[in-house]
Amino acid sequence: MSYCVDISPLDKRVECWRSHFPQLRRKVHGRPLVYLDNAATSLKPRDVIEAVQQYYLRDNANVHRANHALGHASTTVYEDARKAVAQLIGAAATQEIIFTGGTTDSINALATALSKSYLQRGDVVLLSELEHHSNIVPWLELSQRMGIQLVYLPIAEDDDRVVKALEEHIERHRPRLLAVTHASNLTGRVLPIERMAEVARQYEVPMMVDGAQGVVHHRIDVAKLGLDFYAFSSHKLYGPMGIGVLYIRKKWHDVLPPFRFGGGMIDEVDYQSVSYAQAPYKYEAGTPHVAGAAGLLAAVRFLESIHWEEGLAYEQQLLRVAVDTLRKVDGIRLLGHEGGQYDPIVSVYAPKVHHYDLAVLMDQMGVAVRAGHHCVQPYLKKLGLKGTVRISLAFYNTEEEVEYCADALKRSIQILTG
Amino acid sequence: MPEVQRMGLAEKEQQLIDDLNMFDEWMDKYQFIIDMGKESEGLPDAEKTDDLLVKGCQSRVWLKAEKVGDVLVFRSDSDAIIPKGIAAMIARLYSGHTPEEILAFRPTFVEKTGLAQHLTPTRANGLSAILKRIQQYALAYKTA
Repeated sequence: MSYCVDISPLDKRVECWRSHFPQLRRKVHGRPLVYLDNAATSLKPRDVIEAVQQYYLRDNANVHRANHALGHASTTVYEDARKAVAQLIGAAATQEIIFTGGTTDSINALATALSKSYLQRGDVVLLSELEHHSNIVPWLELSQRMGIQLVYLPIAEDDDRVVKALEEHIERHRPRLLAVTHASNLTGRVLPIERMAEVARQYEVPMMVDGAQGVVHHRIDVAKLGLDFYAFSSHKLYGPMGIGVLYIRKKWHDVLPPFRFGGGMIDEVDYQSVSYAQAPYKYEAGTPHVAGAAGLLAAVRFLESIHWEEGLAYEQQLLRVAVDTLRKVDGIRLLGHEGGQYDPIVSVYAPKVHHYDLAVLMDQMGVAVRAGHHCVQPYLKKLGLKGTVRISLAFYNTEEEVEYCADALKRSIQILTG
Repeated sequence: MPEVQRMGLAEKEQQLIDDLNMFDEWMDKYQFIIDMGKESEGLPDAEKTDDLLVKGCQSRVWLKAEKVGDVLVFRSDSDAIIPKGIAAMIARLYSGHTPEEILAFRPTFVEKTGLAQHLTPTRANGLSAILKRIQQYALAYKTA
């Protein structure tokens, strides 16, 4: 299956990509929707919507242990999704893919499992200063509950300095776990994950990467990078909400105990004893989100069918346009984008204008952007900011949309300060 | 207190509805609200205390009530200009009325101006939080 691959020039191809996303045809406040809130959630291609619908129209039945045709069909979809995800992120084995409710759920699950089998009072977990709350709060909970210590790695604009800081922090704090984001949901800054993984490997520090943003904009290879854990959500990756992934490297399967208990995760149960199934099943208690898996499978297939790499390259091109265009808007400042590697996310703030007011007016002009702290309060406080307006792009966005957004921003500032 | 010279709450509300509904375009309604925000004196920093913060707003909104004679006077502020305008609009509406009048009054301007449909749920929540706070003040001053 392939979509749009033979179409040129590029703007025609983008138009073809757009035609697969039904929401792009809708209007808001009487104006065509300009959707630039992709870092919060992506729009869904028609294939994904139809896959979820087809699942309920045709295949719905519970997975595993079903001795009938529908149960078999349902199990096939679910396990095909696992295979597709394993391939997408370069997992060495399919059973390394654990389905969860999303990134937050994945990190919570991991923190719980590590707290039972690996982390002890006084152990240091090394995070970056750019983390989303979902990669801070689960560890804070452990710090309150069992006295682990959190240390934060500063993220400079220059990768060399980040790597050097990582070495110094590991030497000084001897962390038992490195848990960092692949890319910042606030600034778009991409961490030098490959080099950081190398350092972590040298010092034998296990590494977890929060891929909520990163997986959307990179071809990742978890096996090659030697990552221990990788977490992400389906819904930012063009799939349905309510399902996500926790990659657990095989060598951890014997170390990490189950983190949820019930049906589907056992080997044998007696009234007074239980033995657990093998991974991935021992980590997936209860009925999973099979329709979500069907949708995620369709999303992965959709990305392959459009030759996703071309979409990713185009996103970078669009990001450069966005940064250049936004820099020309009077009265605003950009966070970062001064040399390091970035995903197509730009946070701006206007020193004289509240981000809330900007988003309200931009919404009136049909532009969907996000205003607020973006669940990155500690880092914003460090910068002395309360919030930003965040513009986040996907491959179905156009230069015209970016320019319209910059213009809406400009007009909004004029209205608010005039 | 010369009752006859005071405009009733319902009449004042109708004026507010007319003012807002004068504009066909929502951008113009927002411009009106922004202007209200800009004209609002706000509160001096020293008076912007946490106990005056209205919970449920996306930006910080302070609402202060004082009793002058029989009636309440509301003053408000926000760090964002649109909520500041909305709060000022509401403060102006309710200022100069007794707690009993305020408690007996059922506002309809949120529906009649389309504010309810037009604001996103979180913003609409912020607006109803301001209205609720007004009622709480009225209740507190009535029993005080």
